[in-house]
Amino acid sequence: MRLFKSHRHRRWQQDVSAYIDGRLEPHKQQALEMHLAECVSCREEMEALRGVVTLLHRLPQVPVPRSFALSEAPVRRMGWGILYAAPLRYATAAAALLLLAIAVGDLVTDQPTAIAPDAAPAAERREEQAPDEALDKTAFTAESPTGEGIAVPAVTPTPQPVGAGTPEKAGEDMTETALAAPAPEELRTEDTLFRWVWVEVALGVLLAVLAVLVATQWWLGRRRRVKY
Amino acid sequence: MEDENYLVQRSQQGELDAFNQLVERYQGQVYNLALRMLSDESLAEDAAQETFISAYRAIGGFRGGSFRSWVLRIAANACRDLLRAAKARRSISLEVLELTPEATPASREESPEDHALRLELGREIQRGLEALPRDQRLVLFLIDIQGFSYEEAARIAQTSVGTVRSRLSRARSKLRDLLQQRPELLPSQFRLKK
Repeated sequence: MRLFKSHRHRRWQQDVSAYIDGRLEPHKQQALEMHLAECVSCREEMEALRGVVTLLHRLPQVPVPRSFALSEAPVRRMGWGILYAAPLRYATAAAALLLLAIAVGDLVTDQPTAIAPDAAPAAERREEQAPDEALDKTAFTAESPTGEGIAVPAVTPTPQPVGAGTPEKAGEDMTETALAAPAPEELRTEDTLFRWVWVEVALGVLLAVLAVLVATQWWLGRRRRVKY
Repeated sequence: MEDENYLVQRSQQGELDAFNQLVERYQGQVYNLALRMLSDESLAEDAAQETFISAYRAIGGFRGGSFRSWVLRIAANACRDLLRAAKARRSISLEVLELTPEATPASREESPEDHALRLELGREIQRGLEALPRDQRLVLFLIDIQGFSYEEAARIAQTSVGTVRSRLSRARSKLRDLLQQRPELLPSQFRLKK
């Protein structure tokens, strides 16, 4: 009957193996040495285990039957995935950063100032004129202070005489006619906003495409990767 | 002998001569690992060759550290794959590996009987190794046959030092129990008293 297999001695089994290699923690080593001093069977077991280790150390190294040197360089796997891996990652990171910057700019300012510096004063003036009405930045219609919805062509604003829409003029004479027709700054702001929304959408789509490409490239690379 | 890091660096630039110097340096350990894991000379040759081909292909991604650990890790994985494939085909030889006379030459002091006993003991040890689970066999080979540290064995086996310690303990105990069944082969000082 193997004494190590008895419940009393089993707990020493793993410690004895590490003890032979000098890898036992000091406090465990002390406890084991105390046990070995009084347990003959465990001492014998340890010597038998040490004997096995000694036999294994003596096992000869089998000589190699031939050289495994490579006669010619194996083709390194350089598929498109590896060739384009870095540019793809950089492009994805750049698109993501740009989109993030725009989104943060929109959130922080809640004004198109970051995008079109000339659009901000017009928007502010418009809020002064009609404080109850919030300017809908993405709408294709701009409401006049009278509450009438006026269709605003997105890309072709109504031509105005030169100088008619300057901030000074717009602030001074607020006639009915002037109120009915949106100021050129407003048109320009909405036009810029409209364009910028499309830039954001385009960037989002580009980012999604790049992300899919990067994921595909990573997945293909993972399948081909050498395990090491 | 050229510096290993320099050889690795040149290999990464595609210099086959530099890589082959690394092959010459470690092919013995790689082949012996494959032989002990697979117990088949032909499969072990395949595993060793596959290891170095894979290593050459992957050396661009080697980020320093011990090249020996790295290449042996590839070898251990190659053996695992081959064992899996061989098991699927059921083609692995059940013959126990014979340690060739060249590998264990009889010394002048050794009698023919002792030499035969030693060969028989070698076969018995190999049988014992084969009876061990693959993970335990790898750890036992690395530490007790190749003399690696616990830490290096853990890197090669891709596990923790604690796991290496427990696997080694279990492997040694199993091997001891197997060898004690043939006490006549063991040197007298290693036999357990009844």
